[in-house]
Amino acid sequence: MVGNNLQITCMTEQSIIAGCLNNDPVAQRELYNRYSPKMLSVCYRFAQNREDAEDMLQEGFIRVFTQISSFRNSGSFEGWIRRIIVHTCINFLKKYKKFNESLDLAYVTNVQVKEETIPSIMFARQVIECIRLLPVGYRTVLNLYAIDGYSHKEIAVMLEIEESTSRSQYTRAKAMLEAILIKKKIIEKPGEVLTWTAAVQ
Amino acid sequence: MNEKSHTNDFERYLKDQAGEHRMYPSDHVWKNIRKKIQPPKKWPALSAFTVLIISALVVGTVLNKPVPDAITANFHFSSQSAANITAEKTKSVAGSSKLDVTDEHYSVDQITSNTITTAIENIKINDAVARQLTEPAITVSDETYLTSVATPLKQAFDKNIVVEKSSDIATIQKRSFAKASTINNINYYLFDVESRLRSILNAPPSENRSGGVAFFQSPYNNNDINYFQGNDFKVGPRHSDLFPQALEQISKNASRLDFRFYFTPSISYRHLHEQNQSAPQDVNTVSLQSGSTVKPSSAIHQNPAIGYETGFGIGYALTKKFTLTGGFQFNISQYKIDAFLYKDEPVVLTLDEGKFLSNINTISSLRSTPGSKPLTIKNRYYQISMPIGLDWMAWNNDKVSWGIAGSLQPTYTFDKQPLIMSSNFKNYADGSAYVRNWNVNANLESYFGYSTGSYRWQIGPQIRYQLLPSLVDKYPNREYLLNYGLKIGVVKQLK
Repeated sequence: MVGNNLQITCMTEQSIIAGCLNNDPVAQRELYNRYSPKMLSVCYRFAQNREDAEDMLQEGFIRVFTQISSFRNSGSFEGWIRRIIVHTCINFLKKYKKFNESLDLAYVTNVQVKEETIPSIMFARQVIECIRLLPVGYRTVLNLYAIDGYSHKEIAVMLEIEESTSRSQYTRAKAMLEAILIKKKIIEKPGEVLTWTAAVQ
Repeated sequence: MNEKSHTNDFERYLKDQAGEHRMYPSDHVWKNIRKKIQPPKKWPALSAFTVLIISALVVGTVLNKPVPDAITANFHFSSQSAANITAEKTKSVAGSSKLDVTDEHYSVDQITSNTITTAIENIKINDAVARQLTEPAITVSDETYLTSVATPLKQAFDKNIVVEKSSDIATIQKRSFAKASTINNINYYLFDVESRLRSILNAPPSENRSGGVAFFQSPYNNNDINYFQGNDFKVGPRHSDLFPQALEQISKNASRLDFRFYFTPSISYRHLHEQNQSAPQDVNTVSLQSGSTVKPSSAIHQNPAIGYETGFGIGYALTKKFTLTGGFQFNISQYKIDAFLYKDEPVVLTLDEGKFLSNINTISSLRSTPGSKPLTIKNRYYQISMPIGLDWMAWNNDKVSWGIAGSLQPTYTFDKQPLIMSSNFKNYADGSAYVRNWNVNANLESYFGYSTGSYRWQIGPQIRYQLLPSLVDKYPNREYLLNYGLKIGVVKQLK
């Protein structure tokens, strides 16, 4: 019987971490349930398809659970998980991909982008889908720099490329993504009324 | 500056959009992760199962093996005439200069002089051993009695064995009886003959180391000592007469035991205990899908499904009417739930932790309310149990019987992947982590039996009820499994 005066709480982050350290299945499941949707989104930005993304997520969470004792409470727990997931994604991509490729912006003209008007509620998903239209090298650098907050120096180390290459890749990726977003009518051309700032607003 | 601002805006825009994005992984991802991070579960029931099977086999084998009575049953009055036996014996001796000493002599339908001569032939008298056996440890208090007993025995052997002219036996006999002038030698000989006969009869040796004396002191021999003298032991005593108490005890114990096997198809169902509605209502205030205050019974549409149970056991008759039963049983219990497929959505499972409630957030694509596609899901439990019960045979005659039986069954649930209700009763979510491993079932049955020989065939209705909820106590909704079945079984009386 559940009394009326009982306090209703959720598992705290600390109790989840403590549970995972004790190999408690309930805590592990709770951690997974809490962070897997965000982390799958991260993986999806790097992956070629959903199956690859789920493979990355699986591998990443296994590392999270097996390395959780190395978490020192010095920063955000979610940030720690995200870093593991991102590194897992990079390692996954490294097996098959080269990050030095350089494509011309003309590539965009060959990308199949359906012109449509998208409801604002779908923007997040559509933006992600647009990012995934980029070539893998561009996409990876753009993800790491613009979204995950790594510096070009860190990116160069992670992807084993030159720092200048990372910069140039990012510049090209940004231009290419902008073109795709305009084509998708998610944003309007710079100079027109709706700019990035307006889109954000 | 403008460029930098533009860049920052662009990055911030992308970051915001990406931050809002969520994707829900497939079920198999977590299953794969769980396999990797959780060590394989030990299955204690497997050990129990193995021990039980081996025990059942050992007990069954021991109790079903040919007991001494089965052999001695062949010692009934022989249908062969003395002449036939003598002829066969002569033929056997004539056909072989050396006696064929094989085990087949111990399994013939009657004790013949061949059997005895074979037994005696096997007796290799070791003087040292003989001396040890005939030393003061073997004492004969009544020489007169012993002499009176030994004399007819000697005559019997003289008549039936030594006369055969079998050189080996004759030599042994003559040598033995030549020295039989002393009581000790006769005593040794009698003891040796007794022990060999006992060996043949597969019976325990006499505790009385005075051997032959004990043997011939049996009531049978007081009256029938001359059976050794007549017709080559054609007519022998029943083994049960020789060792009446021991055999009676064995027979008595064995007849109390039976082996039983049964199979029960059943209709499986579950009873939902609508415990306290305050909990779900409280939960709804924090659930991700609030606003629902429906009762479980009205929110869930469930149907029975076919279940099974099969098992075997041993029965021990306490009295003629009551039998204590125990054994091993395998159950499959399942029921159907009407559900609807929907997109992946977050759901909340609320657990009662005692002093507070904890919410477990999970994901489900199954709804109890109408969604995109209707489907039927099955919650299935595999269980093994060890029923211990009592069988009351209320009425019986030679062929037909009627009885009532019941049992309590400590039960281990394995391979469980049930879908359980979310706290607002709108969704079904994976509840495998919250299933109670150990449970207790209660069983009640009535049966009609029909006996054919040592077998009794039984059939009758049965109900099995799960005494503890399927899920752990902290899950607020109580589920009790229920099975109505038709039990078909066979009981074999063990000898």
